[in-house]
Amino acid sequence: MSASLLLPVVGASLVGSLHCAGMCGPFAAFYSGNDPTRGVRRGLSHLAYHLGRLVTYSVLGALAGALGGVADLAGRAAGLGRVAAAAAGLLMIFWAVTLLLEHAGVGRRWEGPAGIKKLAVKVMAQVKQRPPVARALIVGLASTLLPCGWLYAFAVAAAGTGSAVNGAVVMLAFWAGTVPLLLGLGVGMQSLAARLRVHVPVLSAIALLAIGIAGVLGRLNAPAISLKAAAGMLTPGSVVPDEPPCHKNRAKTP
Amino acid sequence: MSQASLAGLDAVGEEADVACSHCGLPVPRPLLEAGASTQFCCDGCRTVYSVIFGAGLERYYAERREAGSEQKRVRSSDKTYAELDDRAFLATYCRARGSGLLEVELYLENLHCPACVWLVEKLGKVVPGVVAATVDIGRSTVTVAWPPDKLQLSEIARGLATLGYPPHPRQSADTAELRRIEDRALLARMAVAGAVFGNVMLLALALYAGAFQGMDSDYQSFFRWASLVVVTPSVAWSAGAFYRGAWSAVRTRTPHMDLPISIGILAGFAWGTVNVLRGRGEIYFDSVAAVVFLLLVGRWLQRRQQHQAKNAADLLYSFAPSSARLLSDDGTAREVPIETVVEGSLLEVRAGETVPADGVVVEGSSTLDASLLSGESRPIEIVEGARLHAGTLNVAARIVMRAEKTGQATRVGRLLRSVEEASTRRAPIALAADRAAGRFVLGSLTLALLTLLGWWHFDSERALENAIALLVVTCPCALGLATPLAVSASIGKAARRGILIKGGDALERLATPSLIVFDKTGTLTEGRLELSSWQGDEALKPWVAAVEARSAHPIALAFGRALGACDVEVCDYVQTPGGGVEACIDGQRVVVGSVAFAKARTELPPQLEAAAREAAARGETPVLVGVDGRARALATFHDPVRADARASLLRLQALGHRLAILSGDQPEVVQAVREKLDLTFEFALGGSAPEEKLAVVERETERGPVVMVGDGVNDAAALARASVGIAVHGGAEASLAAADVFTTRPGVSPVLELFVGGSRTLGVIRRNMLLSLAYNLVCATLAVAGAIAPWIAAILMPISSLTVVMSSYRAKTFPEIS
Repeated sequence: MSASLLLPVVGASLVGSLHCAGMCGPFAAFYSGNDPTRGVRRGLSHLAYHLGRLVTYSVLGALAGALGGVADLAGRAAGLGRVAAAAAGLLMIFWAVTLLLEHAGVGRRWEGPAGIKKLAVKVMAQVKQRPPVARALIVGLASTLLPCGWLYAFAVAAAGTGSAVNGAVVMLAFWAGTVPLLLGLGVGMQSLAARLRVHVPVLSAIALLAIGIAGVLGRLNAPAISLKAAAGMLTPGSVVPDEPPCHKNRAKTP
Repeated sequence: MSQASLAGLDAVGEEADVACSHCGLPVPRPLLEAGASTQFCCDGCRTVYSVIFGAGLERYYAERREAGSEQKRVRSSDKTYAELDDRAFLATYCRARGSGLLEVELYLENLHCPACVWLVEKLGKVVPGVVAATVDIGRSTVTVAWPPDKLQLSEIARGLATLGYPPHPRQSADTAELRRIEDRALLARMAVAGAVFGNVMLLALALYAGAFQGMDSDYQSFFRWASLVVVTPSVAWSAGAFYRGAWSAVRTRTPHMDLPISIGILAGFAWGTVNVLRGRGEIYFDSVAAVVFLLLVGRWLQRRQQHQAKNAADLLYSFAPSSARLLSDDGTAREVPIETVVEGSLLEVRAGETVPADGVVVEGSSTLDASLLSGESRPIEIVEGARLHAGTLNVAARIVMRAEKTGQATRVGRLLRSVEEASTRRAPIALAADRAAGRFVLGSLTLALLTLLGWWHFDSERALENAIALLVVTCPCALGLATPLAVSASIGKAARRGILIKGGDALERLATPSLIVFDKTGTLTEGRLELSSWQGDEALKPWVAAVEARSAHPIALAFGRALGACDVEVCDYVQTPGGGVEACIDGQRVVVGSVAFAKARTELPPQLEAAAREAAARGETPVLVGVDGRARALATFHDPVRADARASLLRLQALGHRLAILSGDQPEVVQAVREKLDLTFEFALGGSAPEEKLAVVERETERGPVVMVGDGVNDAAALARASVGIAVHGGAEASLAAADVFTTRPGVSPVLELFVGGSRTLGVIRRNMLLSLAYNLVCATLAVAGAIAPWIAAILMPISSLTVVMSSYRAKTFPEIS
């Protein structure tokens, strides 16, 4: 995975994590609240929560990447080359533009499917009785159930990589960007000046836009040869090298 | 925080930022909800907010120092069924069952096969305290009995919901709607499964072609992955219909047909996925998709058939008309379906038509034949203001009525409902079938495992396919469906022939050779008087006709039937109750009456007197005719034996039954009838009061099965005591309270039809079971041998159910017998 992709992802995730802290912050309060222990025990719950999130994000990224790989296969078969990255990029640009328009006052409300909400409520209700560390882990694992557009945007980016492994890595980068602010919750939202807070939506949208453009321009999936060898099992189909082999052969023939 | 920020909204044109009630970030203007107390910047925040409140975790907002916000408790989305514990509900819908138990009938969603019946009847395992749960699969209802002081109805409802069968209170309007919703859900699943099936087959076609002609590994890989992606919605959602049943079966440890099916589908999907990830090996997604789709189609067809089976509405149309003549304001009448008639509609009922609804006469007067309900064949006078009931016959003239109750709310509708409810009593053969079907499922699972292991050595790829084919093709549903379907089809057909049967067990008992005890009057005989002989002066006949024409006495009516009308002028007419009539014709005094009546008014020649005594000894009724003080003729009357009685009784004897007569009428009359019939009777007793009849039946039941045929009201005790009680008149309501069968047509032929129908039904049941067993043996063998692919199995399975269904409904159990 080239650095040209991961750094922007981490960066964007950091910027957007101001919102993450606001939205998922109460969960941290939930799983660690009512817990009389302090110090190491508390730290364990935090660790469990973040590990749970890591697992679920990686799985999401792997699935998305695999789907993107299937799209790539289809695209190759149709002679279009790598479609996943382009499609993902376009989607993210579209999304970013929508966010910016919303901020400017143009747009409509959108609500997710009710089934997800019911499921989330059910999970949370079940979890109340459990010990804090288990609670933290389950809440972390259930994070993908929340209809968070920000998360799904990065899942789309993961799909754009066209491989399960790369997709998981993208999501790992995303996760890495979200950890700092969520951990330091006491610092979180409240202490940020109002002025800074106002800019968060715009900044996030711009970050999405940047990644989207990168995808469309083909920078999203620079294949790493060593990774390919190691991940031969999980990568759908074979990765086509940039030049068809026959050209190289032709060059070699006397 | 949010409330303070909302102040910014009121000022028009102000750029004040509203902060999200959850995360505090600004809410974009397009997402603002006017008038809402909480605003959110995105759907995610809204969800988390409701999740936290929904789980009762609102106190954790304290960490965010949100001061003074209202702790609004979002209602949990889980249904608690608390409304079922409402006192008004319990009073309206629940019946007391004795020993402190209450009983309620609930409509259940997702009931689709006999295995579901077993599951639900195990309700006591899931909700301890439930005393009984009886399912009527034709109407998708369960009748639950429980002690209300120890257990709440809402708990029972929740238990049913966790089993996978959400309950609803049974109201006829709602059930139709619920059924439509269920049908739509099933159709949606079918649609998805069908779309998936088509696409996966296309992909499979490509892969098969590739297997023969060679295909780039890229393409192959793509098609395999694409198959996996495409089949996932079918396996994850459409097949959910099967997983629910399977899961409940596992939880209650009851064998259920959905279990092998679910195992087959999931095994095929899992192994195929593993092979896709590995990059080599067979994939089975085409079979899996085919199985899901075809089984869903089969289930849909099954549901349709079951719900088209006999139900109360069906029975009702045998007795009440399906259309009525609605009078509009301008007086024109048009035919409308009975369902569209509402309370207060004016309906026109012409002479000779059946009354379509319960109501009141508003115009006209006529006579009504209410024999269906009261058993009284004597016509009732009706005038304006009189009450009418659906199912009765308007005899004389056109009337206009105002409808008050229609359909199942009418008296006859309610009556038929009780017939339908009683029909859930299961015949013994059905109970045996239920048990057998349970062991069947276990057998099929074991055999599948053995098949898998056995084939693994030879050809591991095909092993799984063969096991899946076996799981899918073996179907105990035909076994479980055979009896209820045959019984319910027969009951429906019998109803259309005017025979109401109150339970499948009665039908089965009719097939055993028994002692049939007949009541005489009305069953073996016509039930009315008929002129049997005339001795003496024939010329007097017209005069007698003229005199008797004025009376409504049964003898007078019999005279009328025999002699016809006569226009002779009659004067000084006097009728003496219990004696006779006298009048003056042409200046001469005519007397017609009983022997005692005639003796007091005329001189009786000895040969006429002797003849009268002989007639009485034969059981006939003598009537003397005298003119001017001298008895000149003797007319005798009897209740004639029905024309078809002898033939029908002979056929009953041929079926292996023994015959007897038990009557309240005079012994001489009974003897005369016996001689007339000229058949072997075990006994023919007359002069029996209801108590004596009961004693006789009791005595005989000790020796073998007894079928009693009699009057529903007078012979109620004997009818109830007999193995099968058949009421041939006496009014439907009273009869069905005591007897198992009620016939609306008089005579012996309906009784014969009933017996023939019973043995034919048993024949159909046996045929169904044989069909099912044969099918399972043959197809299971083929599957184990590897001759059937899973998708073929999926087609065969519903075919077997449908064959049983067809065989039950097409069988001629109650045809017109000539």
